[in-house]
This record gives sequence, structure tokens and C-alpha cells, in this order.
Amino acid sequence: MLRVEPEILANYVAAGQVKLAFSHVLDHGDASQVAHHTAECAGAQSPLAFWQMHDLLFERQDQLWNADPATMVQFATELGLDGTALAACLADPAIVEKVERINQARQALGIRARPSFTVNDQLVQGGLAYPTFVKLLDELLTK
Amino acid sequence: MDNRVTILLTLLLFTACARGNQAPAVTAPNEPAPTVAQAQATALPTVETTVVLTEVTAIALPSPAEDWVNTVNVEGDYYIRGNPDAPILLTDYSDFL
Repeated sequence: MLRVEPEILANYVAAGQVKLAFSHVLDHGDASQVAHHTAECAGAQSPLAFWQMHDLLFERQDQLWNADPATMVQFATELGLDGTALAACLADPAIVEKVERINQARQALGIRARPSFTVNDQLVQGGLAYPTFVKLLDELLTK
Repeated sequence: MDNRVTILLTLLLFTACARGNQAPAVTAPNEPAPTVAQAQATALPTVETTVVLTEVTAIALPSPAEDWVNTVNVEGDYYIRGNPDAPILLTDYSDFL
């Protein structure tokens, strides 16, 4: 998704034709959990901040393997968020439960491949090139 | 606000007109230069006014198109980015790593 997301944002989301959701996939233990909890905690401060943090986490992907809460607080500060509140949020059981609930919902759908997408109710497993997305989205828009 | 602006514009117009009516200082070659007393006698009165504008007029601009890329709504457990009425929901299942 990351590869084609900028084009989808520019050509479909900006036009009001497509809306995006992000579903947590916890495949890498503690490193995954810290990153996904951070996105949720950013969202707790502002819904737009969830997506800003989402973008930043993908951008800093190489720093996530050994990331600790201090690194996440630094990311939050870069986005103008409240670092102290984010640090406290990372330990919030409600956030941990929410991320786990979303991850389990994904497993219940039988989604194993990464990345995977649903376009409305249609499941697409594996990465797609942008032209393939265009074909898929345009077909749905003309129905 | 409107009255003060009107007063300001009137005063500025008056001052500008008064200055505009002043004939350029042309001295005939053989005439003596006017004395200070003559200059003072012919000088037009000036008006000095200070108007402090303390209000800002809100200008109604045409509303821009919706910024759907930066529009996020919460639906259940999810932060949904884009037009909430968009016909297509694209959900990305990914790890950040």
C-alpha cells in the first residue's frame, strides 16, 4: 500500500471518491506493538494525527525495529503532539486492547498476506501496482 | 468601523485635493523671491489626523473545495481518511515494519 498510497491520495481521496482505513497487523512482536500503539495514541490526540503518525512511521520504518517509547515520543513531538500524553497513552490498556482487537478482526477475515486490502468488500491479497488499483477503482466507480 | 474609515478617507481626500491645488512654485526671473511672511500667508492649512483602526474587517472569500486528504472521521475502531460519503472504502491491512 505504501508504494501507491500517495497516488491514491492525490487522485481518488482528494477527489472525494475513495476513503481510506488502516487496519493494524502485528507480525513483529514488541516492535510492531509499540509502533501501532503509537499511531493509536496519536489518534487519541487528534484523528488527523493518526494518519500523520501513520505516514511518519512508514517513513521511519528502518528505525522501528529497535524503537522504544522514547523514540515514539520524539516522533510525536516532531508532529507537534503532546509527548508526555503520548508516553502515558502507550501504557493505556484500552489502547493495547483496541490494537489487539483490530488485529484479531483481520485474522478472523483470513487475511495473512502482507500487504492486503479490501476494496469495499472485495479482498485483495498482496501488493498491487498503481495501474491495477486504477482499473479496480474505476470499475467500481462506474458501476 | 465604517464611520471611521469614511472619516479617514474624507480627510485623506481633502488633504490630497488641497495639496493638488497648490500651484507649483514658479518664480519669474526678475521677481524677487517671496519672503517668509508671504510664503506663510499663502500656505494652505494642513490637517493632521491620526486614525487608529482597531477592527479587522472579515472578508468573505469563496469557500475552497473540501480538503478530503486531511479529513479524518472516526468510524468504530477506525480512523477513516477522506470524504465520509465516498463510494469506495479501501482498507489497508499492514504492519509498519
